[in-house]
Amino acid sequence: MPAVATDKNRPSAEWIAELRRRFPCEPEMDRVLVRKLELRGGAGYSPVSLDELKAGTEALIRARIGDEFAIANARWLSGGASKLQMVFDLDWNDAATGGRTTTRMVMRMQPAESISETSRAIEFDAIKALAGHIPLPPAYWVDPEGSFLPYPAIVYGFAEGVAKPTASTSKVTGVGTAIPPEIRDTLGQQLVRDMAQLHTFDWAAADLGAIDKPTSARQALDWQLNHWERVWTEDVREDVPLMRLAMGWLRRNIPECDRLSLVHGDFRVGNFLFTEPDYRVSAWLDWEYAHISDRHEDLAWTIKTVFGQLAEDGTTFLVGGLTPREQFLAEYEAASGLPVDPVRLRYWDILDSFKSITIVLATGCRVASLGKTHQDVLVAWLSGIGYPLLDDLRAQLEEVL
Amino acid sequence: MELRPDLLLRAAAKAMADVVLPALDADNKLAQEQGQLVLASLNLVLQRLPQMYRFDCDQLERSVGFAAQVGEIAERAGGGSDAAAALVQSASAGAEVLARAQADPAELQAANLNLYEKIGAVVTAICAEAPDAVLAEVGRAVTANAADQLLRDRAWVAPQGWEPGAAALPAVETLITRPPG
Repeated sequence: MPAVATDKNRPSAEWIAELRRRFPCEPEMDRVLVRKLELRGGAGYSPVSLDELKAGTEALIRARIGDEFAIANARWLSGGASKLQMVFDLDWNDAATGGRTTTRMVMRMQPAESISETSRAIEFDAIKALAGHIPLPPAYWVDPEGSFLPYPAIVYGFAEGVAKPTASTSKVTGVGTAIPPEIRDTLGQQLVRDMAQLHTFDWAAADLGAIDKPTSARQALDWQLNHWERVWTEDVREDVPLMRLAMGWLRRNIPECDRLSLVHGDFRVGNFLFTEPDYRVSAWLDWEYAHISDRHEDLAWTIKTVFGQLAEDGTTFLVGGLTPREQFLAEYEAASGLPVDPVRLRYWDILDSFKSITIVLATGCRVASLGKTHQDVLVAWLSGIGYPLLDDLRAQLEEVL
Repeated sequence: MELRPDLLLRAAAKAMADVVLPALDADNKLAQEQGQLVLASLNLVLQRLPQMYRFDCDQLERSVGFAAQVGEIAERAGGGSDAAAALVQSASAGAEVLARAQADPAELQAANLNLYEKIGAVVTAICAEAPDAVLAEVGRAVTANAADQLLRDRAWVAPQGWEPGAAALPAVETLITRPPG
């Protein structure tokens, strides 16, 4: 069937319907992607003041717990390329602790359109479901449709800690973080421990809320393939034949999957906080990509070159700048009791490449060109990394073709 | 190539307007004035950049005509000077350049976008339906083309510092030379 001609900056209803038909994905992500396209032709992002965010957050909390609270010390919280964050102190009656208390919280809100267009409901429900299993901030309230705040948002507890060592360097959003040698083992062991805990979590018995449970491993994989090919198609301006070849190869080489896990989707250094000077992981953040999948999706993502660095010997690749690659995989197998399958690891490495290139090169350029985010200048700048990533993908495909 | 001047300029102008200028010290008049001028300059470049090539072509076309007009006047006035001879030579060179300046940059960009989209659609169809041997052949063609193009793309973004070995990449200006005509 010929594709429906469209202006991607003002998508037609027919084109949206065609994309939904061609690329069925998990229902909550389908809702999010349809919403994205329906709003695309509208206004870009306009600066939101701290007072507006505070008022919106108060309206959300009032709707959930009534009037017995007060927000103080609201201020901006920096970090990441995709969301706006405000930290504040809430004076309230916490039912969990049974009394009047002051709790430091974070309001995390997406802009008009994000480099990672995701579901706040998924993010919120992943944190709720995993509470007590791995280090997480408590999740308090969600505004999934932006009914109270200018855009969809969640409120969760503030976690103490840093995303990178105070005495370290990195490029934007944690890419290429240099971790000092003396703390690598401590952090590396916790990274493996938490990943193993996540991947052995009994998701089938859990209330996952907005996170849809696939009926089979094949459906779980199809959802991911369709999701990312759909986002590429929705957002890309200059198509890349290599990306089409990659997706074609992925669809022709579906691997077997021994079990499905709840995966994070962006499990890497930069997305957890740890305290100093004891280097204890205090919280895993950014659960917006959480879904049910093959654990090799997270594994392949975590060990990607772009998130790691070479050791001082100049040859040993350190996963996340922490642990030699083979050691990391062996420790993961020991901690999880689950084998690492090199065939699936390679498959997911290619799909993860497709995903990362889609985010920075297709979505990033689209949203920045339309003025949709609170930091278009960062999102536009990030698009440049798409070309080294494409070259990595080319090398990956040459190995498997 | 997606990392284009218009994308970066638009994003930089928005950052200036939304974030940087409101954060400037209101009492620092020099910073306030220069900040506003930076924003105005970015917006002016953003507006005029797509028209610059056409502007130059238009000017050259009229310059060639103007040169002919001035040359005729010089001829009627006796001609023969070194300056008049140099003008005839330059007018001829200008006309030759103008004859080669046929396509607008926006047309070049649109043609590239169109071709990549159509090639991508064929690759997708081959991957979905063709036998393994055909897939292997198109796979070799696509990866070989990607290697060539990505060398240029990576050289283009090398100043951003994403690749540790970017210094070893050829300078982009040595890769995108194209004979005139």
